[in-house]
Amino acid sequence: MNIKNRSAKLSVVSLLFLVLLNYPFLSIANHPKMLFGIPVLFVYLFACWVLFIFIIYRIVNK
Amino acid sequence: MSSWIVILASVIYLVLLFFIAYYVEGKKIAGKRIFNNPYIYALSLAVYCTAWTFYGSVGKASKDGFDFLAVYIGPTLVAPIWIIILRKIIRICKTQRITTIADFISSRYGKNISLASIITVLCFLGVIPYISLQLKAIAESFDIIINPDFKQKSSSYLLFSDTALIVAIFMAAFTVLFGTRRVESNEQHSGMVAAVAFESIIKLLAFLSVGFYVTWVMFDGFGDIFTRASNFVSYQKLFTVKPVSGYSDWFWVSILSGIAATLLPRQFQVGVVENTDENHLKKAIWLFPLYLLLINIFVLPIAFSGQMLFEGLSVNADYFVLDIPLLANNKLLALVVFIGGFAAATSMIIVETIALSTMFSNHLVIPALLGTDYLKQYHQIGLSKILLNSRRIGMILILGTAYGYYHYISKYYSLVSIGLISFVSVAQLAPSIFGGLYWKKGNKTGAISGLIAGFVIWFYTLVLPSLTSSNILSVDFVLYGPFGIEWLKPNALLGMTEFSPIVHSMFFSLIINLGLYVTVSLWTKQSATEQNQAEIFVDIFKYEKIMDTTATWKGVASIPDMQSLLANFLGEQRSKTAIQNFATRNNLDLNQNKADPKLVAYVERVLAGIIGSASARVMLGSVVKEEEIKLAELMDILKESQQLMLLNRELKKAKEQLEDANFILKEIDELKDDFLATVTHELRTPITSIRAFSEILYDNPEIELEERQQYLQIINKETDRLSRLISQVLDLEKYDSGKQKLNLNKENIVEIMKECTDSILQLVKDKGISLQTKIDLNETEFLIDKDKVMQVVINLLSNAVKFTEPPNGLIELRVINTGEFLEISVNDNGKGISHEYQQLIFEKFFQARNQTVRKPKGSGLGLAICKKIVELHGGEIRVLSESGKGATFVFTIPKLKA
Repeated sequence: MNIKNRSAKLSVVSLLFLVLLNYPFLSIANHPKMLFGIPVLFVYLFACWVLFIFIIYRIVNK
Repeated sequence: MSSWIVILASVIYLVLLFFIAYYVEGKKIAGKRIFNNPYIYALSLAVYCTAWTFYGSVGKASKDGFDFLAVYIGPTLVAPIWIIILRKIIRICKTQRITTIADFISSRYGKNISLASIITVLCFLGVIPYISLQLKAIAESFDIIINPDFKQKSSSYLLFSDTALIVAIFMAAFTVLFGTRRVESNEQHSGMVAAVAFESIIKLLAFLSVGFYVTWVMFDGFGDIFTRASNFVSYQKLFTVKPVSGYSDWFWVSILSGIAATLLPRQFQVGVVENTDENHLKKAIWLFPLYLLLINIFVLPIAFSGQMLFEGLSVNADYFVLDIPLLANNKLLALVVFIGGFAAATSMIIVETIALSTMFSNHLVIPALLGTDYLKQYHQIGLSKILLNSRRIGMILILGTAYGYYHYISKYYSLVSIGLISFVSVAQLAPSIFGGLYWKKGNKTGAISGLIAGFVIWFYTLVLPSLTSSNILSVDFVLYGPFGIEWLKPNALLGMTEFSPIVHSMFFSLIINLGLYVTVSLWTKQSATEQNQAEIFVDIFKYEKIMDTTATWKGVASIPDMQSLLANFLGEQRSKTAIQNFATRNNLDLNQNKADPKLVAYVERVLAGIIGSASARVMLGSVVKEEEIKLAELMDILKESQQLMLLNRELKKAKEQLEDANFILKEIDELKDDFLATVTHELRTPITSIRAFSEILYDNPEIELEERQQYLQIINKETDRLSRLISQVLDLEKYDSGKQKLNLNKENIVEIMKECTDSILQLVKDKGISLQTKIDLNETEFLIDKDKVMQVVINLLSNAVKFTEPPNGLIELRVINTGEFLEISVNDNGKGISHEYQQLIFEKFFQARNQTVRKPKGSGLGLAICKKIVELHGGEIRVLSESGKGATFVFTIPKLKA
């Protein structure tokens, strides 16, 4: 993949997750509820985090 | 736990670090770079996670729930963008030999000494509290592990008040040993990097093991901890981010951390200066976020467990990580945790101290010396000693100050709050760095005003309030503002109370910093050097290739001066080889006394790698009578170099084309030679027989008339053959050179065919075979060259006669009209031509060269000439045949409009 294209993809992913991990998206999970005994916010944040790392990994390793 | 076990473990750990660093340095000297890989790079970036992460995150989580995570989400989101920003910074630093963040900024804004000094001072102010935080963490964790009495915890639990001091001394020893081995600060500390990577592994493993222990041994998994915690009403607020103010804090702190993870002096050191290969970034941008995720996954479970286990006891949440294993009486795990925290703290101290001490020597000490006559006096002895010693003194000074700060101030603060204060200070560098990378108009005055204003606001809104806790300043200052002026309250400037103190400070300092940077830059002018540097920084990928060979100095300098300048730092021998190597690389003549501008620029870069670009410029300025190069001139130079490169490329291309043409010419030449050889051979055959028969006639006058007639006839025939051959060769030459023109006329094709068959009829009859003509045309007039077409047809017919045998021999001449073409074919039932020769028979002298195939009858030029004639008419000729089944020669001639 050419460098410019890859940089653009990486920036877009960063921005996307900046949005996902902030208000107002963050408020979706910002409730004192539990999912499998774990706070929803905890699940949401770490799931996003794992997904983010995976996407970055895929982009650089294509 | 008895203190000697802990001390022994710490000492063993430190010795191990020393060993790793020594081992890797040794390997490197031996030329092996096995530790030069992306994993080490990514792990060394994890120096971002300090004691603050290791102990402080849990403390912060216990108090504010999820808020602590913003500090790791920010760097995670920024990491992918490093491949754009950090790559550019790395490229600039490599070409300009920049070794500190202060040098980076000062280089960009015209290699200004005062700018570098200002940033150095500001970094000291901002980062020393952060180092003191590490000392605090080590000291306090040490006191906890040797005296785990949870009931009487108070602020007086420091039994060994000197733990921090001892640690500071040890750290100073380590950094002095590994941070000042060579005078060039661009020389990479591979041993130190390996040690830091190792520390990153240790702190992660330690934290994961305590997390695992708490979650699955003491409790029954994540769900169990959270469910139990949810029964406590007071903990429930920790399950969410506070609405409104929480969201904005979350956002701003993640931005702040993203900036810090890129620009903190220690991150700049491992991420840029110690980077050995840009491609390592590709792995680091996902490994680093992964590391952050792993080290954070157990923070909340540990925080909640701690809260529940120590409910009602006054235990500092910052040390839950250590307290919980101690409570469970798992001494081994407690020791592992202690070492993990120790690793987190020491790695930060080592890298930060090395980075700061380089700034100290290059941007404070050397400029101070440059101002006096001191340097001139020491010109002969070599400044490298002074430089190295000033770096060592810098390290001791930094750790000493950090210890002092710990002793008087940080004791009163939680780990995280001290760290965030540092983050805000380092974020002040962001406008001038990112602006400098992408905006050519950004200038020195703008950068200085922005930086100073930002730092003043930071100091006022975060540092001064922190002094009130230790009673250095009155609390009234924070509560009511200075002299009771409400709108100047340090935590609520202009009465803004929306934000937390950190975000409040960050917001005001950065917005004013950025605003001043932009507006002042727009309203003031850049110097020539600034313009040059701005051009190079912003367009580094365009210029980096020609940087090495471009002169950025204009003026007169002598080679001995250059050499003695370098010798000050590198020693006689090394500076001599350095200059000689550069000269050979660039074809420079060293015998002249005057130094080439390229050489001067090179010396400047080498010096910059040692003492920083600003000092290097000043030092060089003392021996070079410089005339400032204007941007226009620099651009000309750069452009010229670029054009030279382009020209080179074009020359190469032209050369390749010439070579190709030459190759073709050679081939043609060979063909000509071949042709000549064959022609002469063909000519010799008739001449030989003419000569032989005329000799017989000459030698034997009494030969009988009949016999004599016979010989003369042969001679006649051979002479005919000879002249025919010669005229054919001449003919062919005409076609080849393109001189042959067609004499096109409207002709009746039926008549032409009749003429052809008439001329060949005698031959056919003599041989006893038959000839048939079939003409099937709807029009008979065609625009052709009559003589030439007849030549082709007769040639084909006579060939057919030659290869057909009586009595069944049959030749068929057929003329038809297929759309756009007139198609004439000559068919015989002779022995035919096998496939492999069907293309070749149209070549000159094919027959002659392949006498084994057929017996030669004719010159071997006939078909070649036919082909030329047909092609000249715009048609084509081919043969259809199978061995033993006769042959059909077909040629087409396109209908031309009369």
